[in-house]
Amino acid sequence: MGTILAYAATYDGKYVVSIPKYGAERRGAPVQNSIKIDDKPIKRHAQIENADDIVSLDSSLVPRFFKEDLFDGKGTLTLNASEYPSAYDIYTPEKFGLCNVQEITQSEGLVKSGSAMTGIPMLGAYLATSDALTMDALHYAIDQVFGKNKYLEANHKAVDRTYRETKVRRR
Amino acid sequence: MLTEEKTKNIKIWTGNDAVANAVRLSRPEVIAAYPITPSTPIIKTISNWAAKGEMDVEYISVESEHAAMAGCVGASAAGGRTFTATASQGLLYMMEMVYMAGFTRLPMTMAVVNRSLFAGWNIWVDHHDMYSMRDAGWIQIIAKNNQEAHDMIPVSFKVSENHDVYVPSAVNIDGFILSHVAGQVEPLSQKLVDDFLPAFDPIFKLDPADPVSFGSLTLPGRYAKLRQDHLESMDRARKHLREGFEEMSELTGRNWGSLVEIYGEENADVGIISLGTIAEETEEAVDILNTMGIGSFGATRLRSFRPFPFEEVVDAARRYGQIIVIDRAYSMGANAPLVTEIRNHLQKANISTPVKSLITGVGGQEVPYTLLVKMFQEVMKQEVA
Repeated sequence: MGTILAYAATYDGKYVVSIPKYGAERRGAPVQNSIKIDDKPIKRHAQIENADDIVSLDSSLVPRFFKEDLFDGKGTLTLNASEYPSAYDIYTPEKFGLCNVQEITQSEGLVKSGSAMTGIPMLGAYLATSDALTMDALHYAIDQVFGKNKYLEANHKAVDRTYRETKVRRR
Repeated sequence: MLTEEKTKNIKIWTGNDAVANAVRLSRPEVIAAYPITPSTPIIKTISNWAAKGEMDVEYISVESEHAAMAGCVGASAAGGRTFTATASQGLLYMMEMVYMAGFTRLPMTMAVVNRSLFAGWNIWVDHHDMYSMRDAGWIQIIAKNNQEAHDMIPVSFKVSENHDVYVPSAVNIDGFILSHVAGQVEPLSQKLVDDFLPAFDPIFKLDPADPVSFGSLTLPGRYAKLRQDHLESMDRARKHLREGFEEMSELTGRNWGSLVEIYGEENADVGIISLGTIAEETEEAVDILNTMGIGSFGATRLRSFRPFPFEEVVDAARRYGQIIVIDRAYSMGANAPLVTEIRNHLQKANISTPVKSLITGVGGQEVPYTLLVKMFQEVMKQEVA
């Protein structure tokens, strides 16, 4: 996800870094990645403490890691969920995006070893919510990373669908 | 904003990707390497290329870091352009051979992906590993971002193999902060690197048709002469590194033009001297401090630790009212390595600029610019004898 967003930001003329948080990774455990996008070169190497936008593949996670409101009426929160979870009542982003990315991912055949690969499709939902980058940039980035991979076309289709089907709610 | 032309060329590479790709462009003939976090992706990438025939190199899989550097010693002594990568305990485990490469004057390049040392068990960045090889007779270059890591690899090969220098060279990148962070890199072209980096032309090499011996019994007088020659070669390396950085700057349009990089107010009340990624974070802190009405702030980043940039450090001490030196490591029972070297040299140069010490960022401790702003203000209060 981080590399795709970084290529997309580059296509849109932005400076970017993608900072994964490393530790004792294992399948199914929570993972986190910080993306910094700016109009000027990025010199900040530390993880993001106060993000403008949060994108979550698993709607149970955000309240576990962010106990307090980060948004104060600004930024966006995009969730892989079809219903608004009540645990998110504390958050006040400017825009809230909801999309059942899981279902779209599975229906486009983006499943590997029994797991839906929701990461890239999630980015369509994010761009529908945030306008941070263009969809042209996202498609460019998918081409850059997936090349001739068998999942290339399915990812293109999936992000178009998640972009269209995301319900964006303003505060 | 990026120009459209840059946008098309840019790759999103981790620091390890940036190093591996630059190594391929530099056409090494032998690589002997053993994996250790966080340097593993460099040699994994290269060994994949070698296995698929995408890189024409003799890749030697070895059973330890000690064997890896032993392989590099043999390869360089036989006249091959040689590369390896390691980190942390791996560097310590190969240290006997690191000194052998240095003191035998065997040109090669090693990427050191800086990581803390045991114990406790910790895989994240600091500079204890880098400082451990400071007296091994190697050039030590430190990159601040993935682009610099990429561009410094051909410079490292070139200066290392220069007959006027002829010592091995290490390019250091901060573990995870660069090695695993994906950033924007404009790749060097094969033509640029081929034009920049001539083929390795060994002064001596192991050759059955013309036998020579490396490291035979050396009596005290000659041994001292060898070390003195080595010292003088490292002194000459400053000039060749400067020229290498300048040439790379001209070829790429990126500014790698000296042994140090100066940021912010050149004659600031407070100047911060540091190495690697924390120097970029420092630039952000400097910008904030300069708006706070508590004096003027500037920063000087050392791109080279060996040879030590004496002239540039003296210049910094003459420019700044006081200096804060950041070390990402300790020297137990003494002061930290970088601040000690700077104080030592300024004393020798009879310069009395106060030099204060900040040790931070060890074992991967996050050091955001916001924290640096607070820490610099605290360190400014230190009493200096």
